[in-house]
Amino acid sequence: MSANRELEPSLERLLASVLYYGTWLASAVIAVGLAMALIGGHPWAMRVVTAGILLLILLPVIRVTLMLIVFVRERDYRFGAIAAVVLAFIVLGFVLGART
Amino acid sequence: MLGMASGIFIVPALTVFGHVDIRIAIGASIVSVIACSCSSAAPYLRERLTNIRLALVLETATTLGALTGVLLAGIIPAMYLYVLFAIILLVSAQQMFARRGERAMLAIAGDESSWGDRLQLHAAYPDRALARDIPYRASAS
Repeated sequence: MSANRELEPSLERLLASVLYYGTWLASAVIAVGLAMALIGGHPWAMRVVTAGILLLILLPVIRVTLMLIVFVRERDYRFGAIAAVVLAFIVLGFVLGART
Repeated sequence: MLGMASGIFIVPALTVFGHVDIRIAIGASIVSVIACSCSSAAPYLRERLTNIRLALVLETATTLGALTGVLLAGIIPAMYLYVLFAIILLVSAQQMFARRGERAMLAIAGDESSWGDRLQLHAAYPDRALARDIPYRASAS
């Protein structure tokens, strides 16, 4: 477990940066889209906004994926499995949601 | 902290004052919840105040709940969603009022917990005032 104790803070820092910069990037994309809509009603404006919202929705998915990768690399297979289960629920939700 | 609360405020605001369809209002509130929780999680992670293992274990329940929501949203008519949302508002209001007495419970809980042991969820958080790590135990109660 001593290896885990040393690796975990770096995983926390990694997740923190992903969420921090990811939120900024998604917000910036949405802001650009809204600005495009406000200025001249650009045909792509709403697509840019949608892309920003999609990025925002994907952030937690990226976070779980990163956790899965790090836990498996760390040979912490129990938590790798838990992350895989969470990811499977998310993917299943996306697939079922897209159908209806 | 306003993760759930932003949904509590946004959904009624959009449906009552904006006359938006409740499904779209719930969707909008969820996007705002993601934005709030992602941006506020970063500093907590950086300060090592988040138990990411415990978060992942709890996330199995939240994603399963989301999956149930996906399956039910297509079946349940919007009318029942209003009723369901009203019940959730009442429950969360009751929880907000009840929170004052909760601290004593938290102090007592935390002795035996097989799940916390099995998954090694016990961790430590850094205390700035004491300038050292404070260990704690994860418990189901």
